[in-house]
Amino acid sequence: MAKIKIDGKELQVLDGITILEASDIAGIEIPHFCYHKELSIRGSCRMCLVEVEKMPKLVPACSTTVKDGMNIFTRSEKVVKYRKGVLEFFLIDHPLDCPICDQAGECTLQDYVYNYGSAVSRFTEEKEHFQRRKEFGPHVLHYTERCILCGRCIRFCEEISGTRELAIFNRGVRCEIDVFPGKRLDNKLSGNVVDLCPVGAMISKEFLFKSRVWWLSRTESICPICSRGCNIEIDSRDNKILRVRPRPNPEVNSYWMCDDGRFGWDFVHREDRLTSPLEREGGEMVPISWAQAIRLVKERLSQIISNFGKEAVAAIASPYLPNEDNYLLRVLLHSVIGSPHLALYQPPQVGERMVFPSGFTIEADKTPNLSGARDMTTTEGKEPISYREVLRRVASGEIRALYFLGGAPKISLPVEERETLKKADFLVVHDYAPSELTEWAEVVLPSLTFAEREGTFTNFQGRAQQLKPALLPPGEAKPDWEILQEIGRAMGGEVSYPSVEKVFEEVAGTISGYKGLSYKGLGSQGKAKG
Amino acid sequence: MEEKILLKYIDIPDIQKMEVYQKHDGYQAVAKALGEHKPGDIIELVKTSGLRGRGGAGFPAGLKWSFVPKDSDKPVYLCCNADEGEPGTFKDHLLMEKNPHQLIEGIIISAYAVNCHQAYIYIRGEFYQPRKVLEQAIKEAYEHNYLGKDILGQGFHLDLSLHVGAGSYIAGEETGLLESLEGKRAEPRLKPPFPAAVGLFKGPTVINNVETLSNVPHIILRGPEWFKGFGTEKSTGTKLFGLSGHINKPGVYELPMGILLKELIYQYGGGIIGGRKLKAVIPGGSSTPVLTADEIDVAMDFESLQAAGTMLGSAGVIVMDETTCMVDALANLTRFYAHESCGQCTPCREGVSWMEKIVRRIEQGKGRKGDLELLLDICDNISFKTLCPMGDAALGPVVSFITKFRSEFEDHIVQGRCPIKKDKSIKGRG
Repeated sequence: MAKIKIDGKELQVLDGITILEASDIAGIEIPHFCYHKELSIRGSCRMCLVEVEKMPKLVPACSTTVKDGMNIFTRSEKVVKYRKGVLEFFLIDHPLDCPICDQAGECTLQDYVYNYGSAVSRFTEEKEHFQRRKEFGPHVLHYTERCILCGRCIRFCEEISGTRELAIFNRGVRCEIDVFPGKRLDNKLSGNVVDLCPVGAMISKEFLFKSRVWWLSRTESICPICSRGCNIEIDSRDNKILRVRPRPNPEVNSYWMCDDGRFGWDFVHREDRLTSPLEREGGEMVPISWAQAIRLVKERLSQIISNFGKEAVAAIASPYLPNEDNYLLRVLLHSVIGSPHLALYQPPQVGERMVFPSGFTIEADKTPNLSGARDMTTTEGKEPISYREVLRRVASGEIRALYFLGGAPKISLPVEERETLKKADFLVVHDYAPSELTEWAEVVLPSLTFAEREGTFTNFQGRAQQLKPALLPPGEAKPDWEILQEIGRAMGGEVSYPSVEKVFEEVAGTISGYKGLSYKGLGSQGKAKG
Repeated sequence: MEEKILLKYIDIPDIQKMEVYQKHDGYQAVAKALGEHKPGDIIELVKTSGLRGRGGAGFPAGLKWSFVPKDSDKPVYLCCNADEGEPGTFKDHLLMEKNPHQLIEGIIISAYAVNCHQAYIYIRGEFYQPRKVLEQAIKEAYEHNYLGKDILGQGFHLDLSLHVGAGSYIAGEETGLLESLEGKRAEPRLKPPFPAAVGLFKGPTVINNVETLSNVPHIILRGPEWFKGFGTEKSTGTKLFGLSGHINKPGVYELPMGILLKELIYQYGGGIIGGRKLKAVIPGGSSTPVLTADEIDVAMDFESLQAAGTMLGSAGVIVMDETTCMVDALANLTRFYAHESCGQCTPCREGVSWMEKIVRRIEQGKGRKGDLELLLDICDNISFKTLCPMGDAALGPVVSFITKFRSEFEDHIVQGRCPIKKDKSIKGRG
């Protein structure tokens, strides 16, 4: 341990940490650009220089390690003067186009100039000019004149994605970042350079001119695109997602997420979202009210139960839906109806997991909650029935009614499965948009996408993580757990879960591995199940 | 005529050829070093000699070598910095072109001293002729088993590679050189760690200038005491001075450290062209602070020049006479530094280019009141705050020119034109 002083504040810190890390512990901000926790230290922006007693020069806080007895000043006269000076340097060739820059409002340069800089510039010469905008790849644009050459993006492509598309070209004030000739910034992690860029040089094509950032509502959630469950922030406005960005979580995704997740949320705003319950009338699907829908499902299920017995009803859980929704399906089937036939749909896996040199991995399993859905459908001591077995029994007529949780309209069923499903007397499907499943359903109940719902996903590591609703549901669509509860009640069951939290509490009390977890206790980073 | 060390055989015809070099004590120092000394002894001998780095910083060579860890699990590298790029400096070019074996001999002995088996000469890309000469000399050295396996049967092996530089001033900064040698952009590295601990390919690395290494065989052959007989107490040996500018006899002169600048200019350099008046001298390459005509009674050694507020640097003496416009000269120098800034660190990249623009504007008669204060303040914001010494190299001339020739700058600003009657004919002399 080293005993040090920062701006008069005494603290004990681990030997060998840097001044910047120590100041972070002390809660003192040292402005910096090129330093990033997950990247190698370059020490080139010279923003983080601080004064240390008995050292003749100002030293970079990002690369200078603390020593016992060190007396550090981050706001001395020398430091304050220099900060003004270096910020002036950053701005002399900067276009100062904040009014049309997407980064404004969350721009580090803007913040630092506001906090530490000078209101007037002494620079009266001609600025250096560059090609204003370059397209680096399918998702990233580069505004060269705004670039402060911190090199984070280059180090990201070297150290994290390992794809090495970017470099600095030319020298001195003519330096500019560009892709190597013949290359494009098209790796699966390319969107991260936009987050990494402290200024508005790296810009997301998808977010370009979409909104000033201060109008955005920010919601912490979990990416639904693969089983890794990257922690994300959904930035929305007027009930529309405008962008999705990663939230740091060292246990899951570090500071990163892949482009599939970052830009893969367009399904939320599909034109054909289901907004009310539908009933099949001949070849047509006709909108009905929730009351009608619940009554219809209840009547059809009761009819089948009385004609063929409880075991003629089966339910299919979904790896695309949160634990709570799948758990209530189990409650409906096992407790209310009394059928053991709860199976889990598992889409065929295509492709391999993608591991980057830094260890960041895009999982091959493209469902967000396979692990959790498996936990919710497994009953201790009972051999779970497989999806395949359910289909076989539908074909043989043993199973007459099928309750299917969808949640993934993109899934494509093999022809023979579709033919089998047609044979069921009664098929009810939950989903947020039309799919191959809803095509054959007798009743379709409109549910939500990840962006509108609350609940938990358990990722491939067995980490339970919370989703929070960023958007209001379209039309009359409802979360699956609410729908299931209403059906359960209609069927005469005593089911009363006023909130997702209550469902989770019961999960924590019932399902092994979840014992000891609490919904609130999951926090923003999630918790590993036991 | 003083005794010479480095240039002693410079006029012998074909001295760059092995058989001629061998007739003039050639490779005897290698034989002596490998045959009679342990590596540690060589470091001690060089330490005792007081030999200091000739690249500009003047760091004691023996001490530098002693920083190389003895127990490294990575190979040790020796890099000869032959990227001579400081304006006003042209001594290494001469040493390599005229006497390449002297340098190779120095490299072999130095490599032996630090237990290095792979050495590099990083030669400036523009040095075509020295490169051709060195290529041939290295080939000869391999043929005579001064390089390669089991050198002279003494069990020491060394490979020497000639690497052609990628053409930038900053590749001459030692860590910029290492980056360039590794095939990357010549961008100086953050220090610490210093190259002696973590250098080329992360191995311990010694980087020495051509002139420094060329001195080593002589120290081994004739002893450190003999070497200390030249120069001053703390700046031992001789020094190659490059004389250029408004001088009658420009060229490279080998003289003992401590010679008076005045003597160098008037006695050896033959005085100022056309008998004109001396105005200013840059004593150690373009980055060293300028001296006025009144300040040339200074001894050319590390300590005396430091006391005079400047540096010996690479000992490139740039002489400027009364027809020189100091603003124009500074604009020219600053343009060089702005052009050569690698651009990775902010104060150097932005500040130096800004200074160039201001100085050029003053020279064009568009200077404004406050420009000089602004320039000095920019210098203050660069000074000792950049990642490598380049920032300070760039502001050396700015601060000293403005401080020492302030009235000339003010005249430009007040009169709105350049008041100096320039004579730029020197450019045409080739």
